[in-house]
Amino acid sequence: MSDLLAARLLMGGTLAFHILFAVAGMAMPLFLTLAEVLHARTGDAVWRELARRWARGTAILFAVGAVSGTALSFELGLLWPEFTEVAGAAVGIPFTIEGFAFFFEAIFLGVYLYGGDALTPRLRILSAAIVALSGLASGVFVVAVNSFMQSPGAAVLGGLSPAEAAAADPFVAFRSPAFPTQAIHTALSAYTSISAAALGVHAWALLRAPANAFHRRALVLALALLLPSATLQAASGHFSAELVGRDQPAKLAAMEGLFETRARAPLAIGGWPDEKTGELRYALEVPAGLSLLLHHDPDAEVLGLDAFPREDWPPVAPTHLAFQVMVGCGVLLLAAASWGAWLAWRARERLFRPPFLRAAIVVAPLGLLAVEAGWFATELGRQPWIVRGVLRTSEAVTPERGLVWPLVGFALLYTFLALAVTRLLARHLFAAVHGLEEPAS
Amino acid sequence: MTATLALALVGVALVAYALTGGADYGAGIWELTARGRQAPEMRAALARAIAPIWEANHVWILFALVLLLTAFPPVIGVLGQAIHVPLGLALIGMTLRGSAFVFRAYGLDTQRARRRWGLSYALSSLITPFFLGVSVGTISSGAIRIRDGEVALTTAHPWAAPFPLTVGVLAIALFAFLAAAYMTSVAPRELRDAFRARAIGASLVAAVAAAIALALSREGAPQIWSGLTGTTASLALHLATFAVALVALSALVLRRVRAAAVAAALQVALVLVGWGLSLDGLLVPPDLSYRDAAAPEPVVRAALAVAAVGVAGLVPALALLARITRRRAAS
Repeated sequence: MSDLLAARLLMGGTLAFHILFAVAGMAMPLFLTLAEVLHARTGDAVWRELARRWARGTAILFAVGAVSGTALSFELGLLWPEFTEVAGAAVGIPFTIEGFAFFFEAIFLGVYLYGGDALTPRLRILSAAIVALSGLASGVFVVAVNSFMQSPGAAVLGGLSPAEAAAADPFVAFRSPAFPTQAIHTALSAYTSISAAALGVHAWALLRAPANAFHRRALVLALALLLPSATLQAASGHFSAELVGRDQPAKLAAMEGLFETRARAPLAIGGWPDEKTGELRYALEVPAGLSLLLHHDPDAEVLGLDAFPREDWPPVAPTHLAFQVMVGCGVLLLAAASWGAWLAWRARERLFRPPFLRAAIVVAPLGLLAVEAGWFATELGRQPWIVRGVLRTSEAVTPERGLVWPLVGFALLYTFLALAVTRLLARHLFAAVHGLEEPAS
Repeated sequence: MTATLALALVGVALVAYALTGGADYGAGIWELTARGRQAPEMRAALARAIAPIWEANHVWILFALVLLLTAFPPVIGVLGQAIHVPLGLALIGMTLRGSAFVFRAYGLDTQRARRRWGLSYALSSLITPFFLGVSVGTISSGAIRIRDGEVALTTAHPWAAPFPLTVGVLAIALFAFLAAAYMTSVAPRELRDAFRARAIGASLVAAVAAAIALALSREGAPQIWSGLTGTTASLALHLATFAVALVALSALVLRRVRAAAVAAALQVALVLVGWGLSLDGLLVPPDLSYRDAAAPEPVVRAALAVAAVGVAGLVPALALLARITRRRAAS
């Protein structure tokens, strides 16, 4: 195994682990805040109980996320020293702001979880809300770092080094053309994926105890968050794709499996890109669909991979596959959420019956799967660049040898952690589902 | 001027980390060594004390790292290449420690399983400060040279030398001392004497380790030796540190617990400040000074502005958290 591959696997693996906990850290505090607000408004003890149960899960997920996030910061310096030297000045400012946002999140989570009777209901809501806002801010600012890597902006692409561009404008990362769409899409993905997971958990509980008021209310709350998130996410996905088509056309071509530059470019659903022969096999194609979506004109030309030198191609098959998985999951989530919304509006009681509950359980992991697939699509699609147009991943890696050893070491550690966390969460869910009684009304 | 401010801020972050995160590690170390009748209560008191704050405490090292990345980008790259072994091991320790703490606290496990997590937690609380100390010692030793922009090490494993290894031990002793001193003032009354004894013991171990490190620095870390002994200013700082250490020790002996905690914190801070000043502006002695490594002025200024705003907001938030923590530890 080459050292470059080991470094990429190590960084990518840590990121894939971390992102799940990061989205939980962003979205769970919003659930907590809403539950606390509903409790304050209605006086119903069920909401307080919901907040308590969710708080425990949040604490666990947040802690593991913090630990893996710390690991990522160190790995950035340990594995990619050339990147930190070249781009440090440009990405440092968003990292610094993110650091503060995270600091606030950690402090106020501590206040919320351990404040006890020192906290009035008002203060409890306020603490939870601060955690939710800081979590959102933290996610948005760290995305600015990635946006700079994807699309460093006109100054850098015009010839300035990232350090020179940062000297002219310290906030250069935020001016990346990719930042607005990426920030919105990432933020939404946290709420979509976590509300889908929560929906599934409470649906599973309801299959066993259909009349349980606690799980019924939790299900409705999760659905109430899922529907707008998933809907907005679909829109945000469309705008993101438009942006990528303009700004990072090689990535778009790889995501779509489009080898040939052409007008009336088809939208491909599924399919396997064969890099050797340069064709996309077994795909369902919507004629002129891609040209329409990207340029609102069926006769518009869309750049294919042939427009770029071979050595600048991203890995086509993995990028295409990841992208298709993400979109597919998103569609299914939106369908499930829409069905739930319709039932909630027209036939409330059927929301708590097996057909919908089973569907909710099936789509529960799809949000998180979409998050992983989406990040794979965008990061693989960025290759071979670590800062597009400026620095290749292969140029940025540490000259140290034997990186397979830290890779094995950390892979073992993270596998162990993943198993332990899964076991821990499963235990909590089990206890929450089975140990729960109806609070006296 | 701004580069100097940024460097000072990194220093402040590292001191803050030592006084908060360092005490966390110390608390973990004492869990490892809790013996006798009071052992379960001691462990419980230690866990209660740090539960609300441990995540917030460890943000300081992230903050220092990010500030270095922004204001002095080349340093990260140099350190990443030169001390990746001790730093990587410290990282494994940090990862294990954070997770073990969570699993123990929320595990719903049997007593035995909790003890096993507790053991993981305590062991990683021991090895992480050791390797952090080793990393710091290696950087200070001057074994990391930079020729033509490339990192060149004077030996194959510069971190496996006497000076860095002693600094590792010193880090353990200082953090253990700090944690025990804090606990004398926040733990339930019946446990305070146990922590007092430990604080005194750790203080003496730290004194011996510091003396050995200083002696070793003559050959093993010449910049530190000349920085710590070369000027009247540094000798004055030495005397001040020694005086504060005596105050801390006496306060412990006399059972003046608040004074002991404050003096302990001041002592550790002075040790770090002394080390920092002895580097004389060399981020990686002898070849990389902070001025050489500084990012463009506008970037450093922006980083300082962000930090100013952030710290202004943090102070009241941290005060609130500290109040809550103290109440919990005492109950």
